[in-house]
Amino acid sequence: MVKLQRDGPIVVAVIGMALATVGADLASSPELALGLVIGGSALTWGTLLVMGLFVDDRVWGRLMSDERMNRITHRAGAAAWLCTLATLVTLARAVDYSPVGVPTQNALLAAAAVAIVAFLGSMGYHSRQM
Amino acid sequence: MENDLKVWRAKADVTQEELAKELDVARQTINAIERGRYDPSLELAFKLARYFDCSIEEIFTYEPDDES
Repeated sequence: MVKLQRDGPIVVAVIGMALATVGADLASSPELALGLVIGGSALTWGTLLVMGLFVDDRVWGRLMSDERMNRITHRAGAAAWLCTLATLVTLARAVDYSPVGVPTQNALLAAAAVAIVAFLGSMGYHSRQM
Repeated sequence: MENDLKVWRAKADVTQEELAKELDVARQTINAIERGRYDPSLELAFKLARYFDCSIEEIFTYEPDDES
């Protein structure tokens, strides 16, 4: 279960991603949509940057809360990264040759979705196995 | 890797939560070690040995054949 204080950084990063994607799609004007994309992206990147700079600190919340979670997080990160690479390689050509035509931005969002699903799935799997 | 952490914890009459708090790890980590699903770092193994005032070998036993 998500606890806001413990999982704060991840929650903020996800909110940023939601603002930059879904929020922008639902915005009432192009200016507002652009603002949401830039603002949401900045929120996400800023949070990830802080998490990266303080990789050993509690700013990672539950993901780095102790050595076991640290190990699980690194494994999940590696799995998500490799799955994302594989997806990007597939989509890089599939987008060109698909008869129905896949917009590049949809392909990128699909890669992002694969990354999130792979990360969460791997976290869940390793949490039970380790 | 096998361990008798549960026995040592019972002898010391401490809960997983209390032990986890003392060693600055999550309760789930203590639980995973006791169930043999997680091999702790050397640092945590030393902390456990110091907490129970024993050697690491008294808590953990390593048999190469156990490796899967």
